[in-house]
Amino acid sequence: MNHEQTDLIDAAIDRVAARLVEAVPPERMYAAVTLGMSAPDRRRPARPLLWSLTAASATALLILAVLLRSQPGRPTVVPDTPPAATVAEAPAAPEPKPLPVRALRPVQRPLPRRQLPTMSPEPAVSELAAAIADIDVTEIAVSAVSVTAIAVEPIGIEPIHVSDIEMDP
Amino acid sequence: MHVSIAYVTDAELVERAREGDADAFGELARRHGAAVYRAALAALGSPTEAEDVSQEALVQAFRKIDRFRGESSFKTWVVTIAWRRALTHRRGLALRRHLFGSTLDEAFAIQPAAATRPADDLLIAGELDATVRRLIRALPSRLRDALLLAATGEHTYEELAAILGVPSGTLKWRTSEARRVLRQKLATLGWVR
Repeated sequence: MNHEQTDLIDAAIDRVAARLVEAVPPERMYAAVTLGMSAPDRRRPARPLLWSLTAASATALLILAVLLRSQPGRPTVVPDTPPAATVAEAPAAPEPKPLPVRALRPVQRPLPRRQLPTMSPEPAVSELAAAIADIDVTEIAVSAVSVTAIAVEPIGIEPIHVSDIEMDP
Repeated sequence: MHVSIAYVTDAELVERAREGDADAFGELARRHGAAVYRAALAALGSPTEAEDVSQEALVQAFRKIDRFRGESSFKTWVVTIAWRRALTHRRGLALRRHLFGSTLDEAFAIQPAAATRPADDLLIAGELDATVRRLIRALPSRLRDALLLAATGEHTYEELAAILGVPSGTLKWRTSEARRVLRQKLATLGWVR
């Protein structure tokens, strides 16, 4: 490559590169800037630190609660329509032992009605009834979202019926 | 005595703008709008996109004027804001192009050479220019950015290095390397013997 050709090529590079960026901004750009300066800043304001910490703590507590609640080995039955009137808690049984595996089979949520048009009674209810019939129950705790049954071993203790449990004041 | 705003220095205008004087900032935008626009054009290649990004960058500079500490000139500061916005915008355009096909057909479009030379020369020069333009587009972005920002003629190498966030030696090497790559490719295409 001789000097003349090099100069020609360099000149072409300079010319093209300069032409690519030599444009003048249109006048409307300045008008738009003026308009933008007077418009309110629509960016989301920064959250106060205290609020962020509170939100983070609440989230952490929520996650912890969910994790604790979903521990394996804790039998939990979800009723279909928990009656508010039966919400009660029996006194804690002395040294409750884990429920035998055979006694409480995993209870599945019922499928939507449209998929099971003729099923009666509700599967979850029948499952629960079958489970309670198989075991000796000293404690039944019914809450708005779950029914927890804990079995104990002494044979001869009469099953406790929900209607017999005194309601908490 | 009333002094025209055109004779006020950038530093004084910045002080006024900090106090909420929109006219002062308007004058700063007028003074450096072209540099902002050309930097955006160097990054994006599209006048339309460059206009949008420049406008956003100037408004952002007005809102963040309190953060300008005067360590560089106002021009370097505002062009740096525009450059960063342009790079972000370019990444978005690249993603869009990847997903939906080419949307940058007008990018790096070039006007035909002015008719000041004989027809044969114009034909050859036009063909050479078109080839150079295509090769510049094909350069790696780091080399192309350095070459085109330097071609704006708006900044010293030190200012450009500050805008790009690299040492000035690196910037000079990138510019030189861009030229070397272009010359080499033109030789491969038969433009030089």
